[in-house]
Amino acid sequence: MKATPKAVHVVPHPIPSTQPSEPDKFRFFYEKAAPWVNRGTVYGFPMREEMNEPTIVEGECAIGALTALDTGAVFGITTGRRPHAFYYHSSFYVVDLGVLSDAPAEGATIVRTHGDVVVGGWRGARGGLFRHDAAREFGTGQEDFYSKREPVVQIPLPDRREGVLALAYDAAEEGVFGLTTRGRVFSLRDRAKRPQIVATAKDATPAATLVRLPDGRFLGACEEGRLWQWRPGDREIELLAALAPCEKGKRYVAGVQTLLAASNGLVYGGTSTDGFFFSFDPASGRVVNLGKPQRQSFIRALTEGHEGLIYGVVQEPQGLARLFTYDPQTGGFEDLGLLSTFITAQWTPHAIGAMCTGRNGEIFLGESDNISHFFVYYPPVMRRS
Amino acid sequence: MRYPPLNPKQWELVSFTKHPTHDSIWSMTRGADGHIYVGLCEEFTGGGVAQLYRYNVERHKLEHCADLSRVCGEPADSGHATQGKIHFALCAASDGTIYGATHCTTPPMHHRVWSAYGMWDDPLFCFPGGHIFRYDPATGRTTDFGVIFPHEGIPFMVLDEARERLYGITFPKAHFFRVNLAGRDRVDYGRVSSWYPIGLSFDAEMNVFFSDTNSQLIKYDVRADRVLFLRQTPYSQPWNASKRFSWISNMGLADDGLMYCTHYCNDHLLRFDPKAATPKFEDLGPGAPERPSRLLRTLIPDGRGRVYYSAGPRVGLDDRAALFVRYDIATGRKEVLGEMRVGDRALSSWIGVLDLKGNIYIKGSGRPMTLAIFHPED
Repeated sequence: MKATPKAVHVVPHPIPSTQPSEPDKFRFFYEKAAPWVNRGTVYGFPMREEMNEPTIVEGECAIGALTALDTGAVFGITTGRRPHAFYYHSSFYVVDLGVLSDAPAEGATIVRTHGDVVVGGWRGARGGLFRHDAAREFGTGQEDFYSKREPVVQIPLPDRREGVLALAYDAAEEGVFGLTTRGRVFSLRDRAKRPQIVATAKDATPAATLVRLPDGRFLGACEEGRLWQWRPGDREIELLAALAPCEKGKRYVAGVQTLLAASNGLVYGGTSTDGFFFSFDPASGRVVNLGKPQRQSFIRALTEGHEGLIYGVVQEPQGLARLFTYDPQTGGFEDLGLLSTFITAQWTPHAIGAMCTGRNGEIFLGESDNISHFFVYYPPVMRRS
Repeated sequence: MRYPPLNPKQWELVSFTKHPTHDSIWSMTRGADGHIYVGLCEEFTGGGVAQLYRYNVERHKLEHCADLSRVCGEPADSGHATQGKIHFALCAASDGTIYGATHCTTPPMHHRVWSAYGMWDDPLFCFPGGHIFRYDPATGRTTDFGVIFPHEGIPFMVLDEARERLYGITFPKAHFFRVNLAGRDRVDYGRVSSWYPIGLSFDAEMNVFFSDTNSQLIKYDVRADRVLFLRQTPYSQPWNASKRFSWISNMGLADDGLMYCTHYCNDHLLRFDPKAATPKFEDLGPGAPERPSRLLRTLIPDGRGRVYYSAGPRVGLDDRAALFVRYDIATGRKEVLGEMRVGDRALSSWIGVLDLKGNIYIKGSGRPMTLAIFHPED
């Protein structure tokens, strides 16, 4: 047996804490110790269609990407042993559109293009790209199960050895632009059957994020948290002087996890190392470190709410995913807490891999774990003043 | 229907007087030496530390074995959530040693509430992580193998001695894992449930069976080294179609080769054949047919053709104590032995264990906490 340990006070100055009396303990816990999101409402759904046998099984259901359509449906891609395309609708919950590949997938991306057409891509042992017209995939909650579906059309990648890192849609150019795992930029016109390589990243290694700016430029990031831009027609991406923030001494491991082009004209970003949240002004090229929403590293996903708040998830690899908001008007963060739900599933997600905003301002979130769920967060209805 | 209390001549309560503020017992095992090893927990007092005890069946007294704050090198006033529990995680090896794991939810000293989720990685108030340890009765020494998963407790652990493996579950992340007998060579099989499985047992082949929070049966297939989600669920009331938050709460392999189970949200006794490729649950009906119960617990196959269990009273509907019931495997008869009340103390226990004479040991009640011993043949 070890020697009796000496009392080691790790709190050098005891932190005053309020403690409940026994009768108030439950209420005290609910109000002051429970970490669950309770500003707004969270619902969670298993990765299966109501009344149907599950087909997106354990190990194949980690949600890697989401995008919402005006029909109310949300489309996504899972990663894991075999990637699936799926959609969520409140009438059916999660519908499997089929296995995309028999090879494991490590990451995914999906965008809405023209009309109800989505384009998705994935990367892993073998990457891939697909297009799907989702015009028929919505429901009224009546007898509309099993409506005729358009197929998920696989589109050959420029190189079979490549996967897809990120996609962004350009309505003006009528096409999707994407990044491959080998650092190449490709375009896929709205009705084209094959993508075309249009640019390269030179010696840079792009991160898995890409946004289109209102002026037609595309913005991405690469190693050391450096931002880059690209204009359709250019043969190479242009590295910018702008660097995403990191702690002093960590530049060589700095990185950008996610970018979001917001309605106020700024691009917001989240870093991997340190978990900083920052803004990039496309007009000036200026980066501002807006701080850390939570103590973890890795801001995994961002989306803009209808009320103008930026919603994000912070979660480092061994951590617990926490939902936060950033208010561009006040510059303040709010930690909303951990997601947890009893309806329809009793579940607390530990890892969240994707987010998007629905047509009614819902925030959709995709769990990325061995067993995953699809979550809907309804922000609170604000009172009229 | 009202039943008389258990025959007081058949029961005794033994108090843990040296640790009067400890409040629960979640783990017991019978050592190779025939003595009963007990994890005495302190869940509700900030700074509480689990204690390993032995009930010496020859001397008929409790003997203190180890203080887990000393074993783990984490004093009660560390500021962190303490090593307050040994949950379903005491395992007896044939050489006489006892393997165990520690678990959380006891608040830091001077705190009265604590959340494993909210304080997950808080640098001051987090739980450092559950330790695996080995106690050697021959020397009285306890070896600490350290934290297995940072910040996570180990609420369940079982021993496959032939393969030199310990299998466990983590909390709060509910990952199934295995390590070797030195707590190394960790294999993490990933998340298996919402919360951690609370009933877990080997079959004769040393596959591990448990359920998720939705009653779904899960099997760790030892030959394939894979976790299989079997999508089989037991009886549930018609109004509990989703079965969410409804674990299989006890599992135990009986001498007929079948796995007997109880459920978190109904009072039926259940069983399945673990040898079947896709085991189907058999519903053996309410545990105490004459008195509807909230749930069954304390499942103890006695190796003599019988399965003991308790049938807990319905919350808010009556103030009676749980019933202690004996199920005869051959006849299917459920014999209510009486209300689990000894004197003015009502007993309820999640687990129980047999000694070599067939006496049954369960958690007692009160403070000081007690060990309740039932002598069925007296």
